[in-house]
Amino acid sequence: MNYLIPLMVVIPILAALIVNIFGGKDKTVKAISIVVAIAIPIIAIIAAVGIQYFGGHDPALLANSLPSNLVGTLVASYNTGIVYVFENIERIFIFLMGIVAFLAVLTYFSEKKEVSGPYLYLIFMGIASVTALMLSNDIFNMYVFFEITALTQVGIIIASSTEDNYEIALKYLILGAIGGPMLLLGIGFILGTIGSVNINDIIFAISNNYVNPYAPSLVIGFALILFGWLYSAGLPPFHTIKSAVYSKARPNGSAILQGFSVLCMLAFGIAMYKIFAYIPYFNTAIIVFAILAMALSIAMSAMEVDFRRMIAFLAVGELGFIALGFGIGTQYSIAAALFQAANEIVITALLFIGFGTVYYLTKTSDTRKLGGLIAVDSKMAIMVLLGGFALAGVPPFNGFQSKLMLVQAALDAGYTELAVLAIIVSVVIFFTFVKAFHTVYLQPKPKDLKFAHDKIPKATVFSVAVLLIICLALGIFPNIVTDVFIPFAGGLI
Amino acid sequence: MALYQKFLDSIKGLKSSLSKDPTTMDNVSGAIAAEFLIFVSLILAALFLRHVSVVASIVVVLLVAVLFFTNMPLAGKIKSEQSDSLEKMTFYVVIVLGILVAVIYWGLKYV
Repeated sequence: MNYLIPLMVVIPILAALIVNIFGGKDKTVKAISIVVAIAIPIIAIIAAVGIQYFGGHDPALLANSLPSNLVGTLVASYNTGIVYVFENIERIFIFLMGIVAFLAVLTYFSEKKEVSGPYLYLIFMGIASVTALMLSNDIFNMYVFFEITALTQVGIIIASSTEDNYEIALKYLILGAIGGPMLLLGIGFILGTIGSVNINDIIFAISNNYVNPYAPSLVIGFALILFGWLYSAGLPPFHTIKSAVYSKARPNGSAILQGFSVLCMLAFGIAMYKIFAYIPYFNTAIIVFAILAMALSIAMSAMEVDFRRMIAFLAVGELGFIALGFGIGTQYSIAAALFQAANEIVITALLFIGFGTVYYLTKTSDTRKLGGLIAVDSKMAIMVLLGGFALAGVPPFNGFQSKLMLVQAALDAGYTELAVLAIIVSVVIFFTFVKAFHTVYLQPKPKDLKFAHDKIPKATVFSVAVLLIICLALGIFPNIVTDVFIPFAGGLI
Repeated sequence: MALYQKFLDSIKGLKSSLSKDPTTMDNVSGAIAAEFLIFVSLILAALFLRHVSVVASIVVVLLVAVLFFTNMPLAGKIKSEQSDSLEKMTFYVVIVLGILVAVIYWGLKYV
């Protein structure tokens, strides 16, 4: 048994409880948080690939002790307990999320002298939830951890103490009260039809015609799970609230929140693809929402004057690229989508933390009140600019590689119009970012601009530099991850 | 002096209200970029429909073109529809849920 697999979830949960108990004792909380934040990516790297059957419910072992009337039936092959599957794809995403969480926590400590136990509790609980979401092979278990993630997202916004944060948190909860139950209802339909919530069991039952693949309950289950997926990822019609959520958290919190969204999107996206890819127009439905996400979010970001909201819309728009890869539905396009997801976790975290330094220095995110900040810290300005280049898909960064893969995949699949759209959206992303960069850093400093802090903490500079190095490394050596993603995508279709 | 101060304050007030005017160089360029992006996306999305039905694609492309030219500029309208208003967000969430369930549940019967 590989104990490191459940420990990836258990350790952050324990850390969350401990930092909350020790809230107020800053040194202890900081020490525990740093150790755990370093431990999460390390465990993801050293853990061996494997399957964890909780409660020892390995179907191969249980098969020998079944009553004779159950032997050879569909139920005999079912998994009776929760199953975690840890492969190299999970390793990559949990590692990247761990790195982003570590750097965000480091930035939080450097920018805030008195740390908040509840805030760190929410961060660690969220990390535990999305890790479980990635590992779980059980759609009900995934739903439970997704709801915990959604609640921690709300908590992180409330604990961020920014303007209007309570209002946005409440709105997200209200909209979640539509999205979450619909997802659960969809899972309920699947359970009612098949009798199991384990993904492998569902696929087995459908592919071996134990149930009618076009049974109304399965079809409606698909529609509701697709809707829940839109909510979990922040795709339209949830893109507005998702971008508001990102923009109301502290910059380091936003870096983590967007990582949560990407992992939720991936976990449910992969599960949906495994179960429902046989349904006619499955890919078309995903492409429609991908186009909406890219067009609406990037158009909104181009018109935005608040740079935190602008990055938030850019982050949601980038999710459209991931959905596009899934929607095209070829091995290469799904691999490109996975690569784009890995890149987005890193690049968007870089931009939230990097541009967050502007908010840290001036306590404003209104670009009309900003200017001349390149004089305060030119190194940070350059790193943020390079991060923006990575986002827009400028070589030699990772964003270029994944977007090039997506465009090639679209052309290979005969979707020329989608390839053209991906390029045009990337051009508008570049324009939007350069416009914001020019306004904040290069235009003359307004006379009435006041500074809350004189300089950027070294830990924040370090965090941005590390993220930039990862962007560059993945851009120059994309095969580090694509060698994992391409075979995985091949297994999906 | 008091009158002069009052005059000065009114000028400052006017200046601050002008600075909130969306028609600055940055915002105009952003709005134009958004307008082009929406137009191109709509047309390309309509062209994408050719994979489902060529006839439907031609009809939708023509419809989109007519609708766009009779309603432009769209960027401002789309921005106002995507505000943080709970009513608007809930409206679109419920509409999408309804369309999704109806199209997938009943639509698949005719495939």
